Order: sequence, then C-alpha cells, then structure tokens
Amino acid sequence: MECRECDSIIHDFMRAQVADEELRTKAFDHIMRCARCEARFSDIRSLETALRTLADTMDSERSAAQLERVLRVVFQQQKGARPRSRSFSSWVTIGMAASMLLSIGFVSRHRLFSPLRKPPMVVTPGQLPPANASNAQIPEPVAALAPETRKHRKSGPRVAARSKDTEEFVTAFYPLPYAESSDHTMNGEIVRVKLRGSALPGIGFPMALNGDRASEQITADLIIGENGLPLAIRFVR
Amino acid sequence: MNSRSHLSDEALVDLMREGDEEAFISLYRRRQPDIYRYVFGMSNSRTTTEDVTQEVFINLIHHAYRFDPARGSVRSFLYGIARNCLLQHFDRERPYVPYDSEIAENGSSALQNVLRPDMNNPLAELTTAELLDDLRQAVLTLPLKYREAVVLCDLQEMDYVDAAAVMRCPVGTVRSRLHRGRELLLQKLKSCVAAHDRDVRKRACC
Repeated sequence: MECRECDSIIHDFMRAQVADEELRTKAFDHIMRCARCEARFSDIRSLETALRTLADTMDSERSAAQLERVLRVVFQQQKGARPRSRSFSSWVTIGMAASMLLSIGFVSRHRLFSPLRKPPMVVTPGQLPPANASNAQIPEPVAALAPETRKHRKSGPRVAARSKDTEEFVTAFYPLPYAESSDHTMNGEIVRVKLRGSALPGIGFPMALNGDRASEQITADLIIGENGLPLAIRFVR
Repeated sequence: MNSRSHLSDEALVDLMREGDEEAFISLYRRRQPDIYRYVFGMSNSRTTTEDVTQEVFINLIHHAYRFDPARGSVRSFLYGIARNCLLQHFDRERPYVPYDSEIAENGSSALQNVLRPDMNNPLAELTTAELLDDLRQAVLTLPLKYREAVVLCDLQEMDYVDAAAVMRCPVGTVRSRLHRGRELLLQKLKSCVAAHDRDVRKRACC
C-alpha cells in the first residue's frame, strides 16, 4: 500500500462500515513501516479522542426546562385550532343539509300553492307599483301561507299561477335583504334572469342547493331597485 | 417517563398529528438533546441553540404532516429542520467568527515545527480542558460545510448515510467534507499546540 492510498482511508480507519477488514490490515501494515503515515495516524487518533471527549462534555447540554412548557402551550393552541376547522366543516355539512331541506320544502310548498286562496302576484315590467308603494305590496313568502294552503290542498290546483301569455307558473315575490336597506320602497324594474341554484345565496336568498340542483338553471324575476340592487325575487317555471 | 415513551418516533409523530400532546412531549424529550447538541456544536452559543431548538419543535408541531417515513427517519427529519433553521439564523445574524490570523499567516511553519521528527504526538494532550476549548473554537471557525460534517459525524456520531440525508448531499461528499474538516482541525490544533509550547517556553525563560 502507498501513502496516498493510506491517506484516503486513514480517517475512516475506525469506521468498520467504511473500511473493510482486509483494507485496514493492509493500511495498518503500511502505517507500521511508514513514519509519516504513523505520525498522521497518531494525530488523527488523538483528534478523534479529543472530539469524543468534546462530545461527552456536550452530553450534559440540554434545553432549558421552560422550553417544554412553551412547547406544550404552542401544541395546545395548535390542537385548539384543529377542532375549529372540524367544526367549520361540520357547520358546512349542517348548512348543506339545511339548504336541502329548505329546497325540498320550497318545492313542496310551490306545488301546494293554491291560486284560489292566494292569487299570484304576476307583475309584468309595465305593472310595477309606484315609487311610494309600501313594503306590504311584496307578497308574503309562501311559507307563511301554509295553513290555508294545506286546507285547499285537495281541491285546488297545485300551481302557483299561470301567466296568460306564456303558460308559466310563478311564485310570489320574496323580499331580499337589500329591500330592507332601501327605505322600504319597491321602486324598480323587473328583470327576468336565469341563474344557477348555487347563486341564490349570493343575492341574499337563504337557500343553497346541493349537487346537481346547485348547477341547475333557475328562471326567476328580480325586482331591481334604482340603486341596481335586487329587492325581491320570484321563481318561474 | 410516560406511557408513550416505548413507542417509536414514527408512532409518536402519528399520535401527535392526531393531537396527542403526550406523544409530542415524549418525542421532544427523546430528540431534544440530539438537536440541542447539534445546534450547540454548530453555533457554540446557548442563546442561538435555545432559539433554534425551540424553532425546530414548533416547526414540528405546525408541519408534522410533512414528515414522510418513506423519505427518512424522524431523527433525520428533525435534523433537517434544525439545519434549515440554523442556516437561516446564520444568514440573519451573520455572527462574528474570529479569524484565526496565526494559522493563516504562520500555519505552515507552525505545522512544520509541530511535525518535527523528534516531537512525540503533539495532540496527545488534547483532552485537557484548555485544549478542548481550543478544539471547540477550532470547530467553530471551520467553514460551514466542513463544520457540519464534523459536528454530525464526529460529535453526533452519525453514520455517513444519515449525515448525507441531513446535509442533502451524496455520501461521498460527506466523507470528503469530513476528511477535509478534520485536516483543517488538525492544522488549527497543531498551531494551538505550538503556540501553547511557545508560551510555556517563554514562561520558563522568565
């Protein structure tokens, strides 16, 4: 073995997994015969011993005790954050379930709606009430008419209204939250729109449809106020 | 000691992901000394070590989901976080590292003096407290990449494979950096020994 070869493994001499036994035996033979390599080997062994001693002195080094307490607090905060997110998702689920129930209720009410007890408010763009019309002109939501509607369930037709021109069924107008902030007047224009069910909450109608229903196109009439905000909505079939 | 202490690191990480505080504390108590010594060996500053150790475990709390057993052990994962935190810390602080002018200017002659044939192993007394302090300082003044290899492989007694995982480099690179780091340490220490001898001789003359 040459000095160069010995140099390449001299630092790994003590690492059995790096230098195999045969190589180490050869290197050791060389070290015994070469003064230079013997001195280097001796230096490196001393250095290794010193490094081991230094490592031993560091064994007693530990974090301060209060670090554990700090970390416990951080962990508890993090843990506290997790149920919040679970709670949020459960609220979303509850919200979706509630909206499904609402939509089922809405559809069944819509079917039970009796034109004999509650004539439809079919408002065409030309028949909009005057500017000083009161909020009372907005029909009550269908849900408020439940007892009467149930009473006439068998005898009356199940449609809400039938437009003379288009053979369409329309519901009453439902005030939207924007109506409350527009000094209780319903001055504006009726605009027919087609929108996805999922867009209803966006205009303040408290209903969210799920799955296929959410992407289903809904035809509706919106009363758009002077300020451009939708004040009421009715549904058209 | 709590009921989680017999579990493996990986099992503890799984439990702490589910919000088990005691699992986290068990893991902290098991791995904190290694991380602390590694950071201390690299920085030789208790303040830095405390800060970085805390940062490592807070990181673990927030990002335990990033641990992937297929990519390495929890120990390597923690060392990896510690290394990143430490490098960021060095970047931020840019600590003053004393420049070893004696080695730079007289290193080769000092080395030759120390390596004179009649001199018995000059590093044999390195285990004395004074020289251990010199060794600690010498490690600290090593360039970062060599210091890292020495701290991980020699002070932490990590094998090359684990050290390579922490240093994110091939095993061969760890080996060559360790050898180079050790050679630099030898040079620094020999000059320290020589300076120490000169002091002793001066004191003897006076």
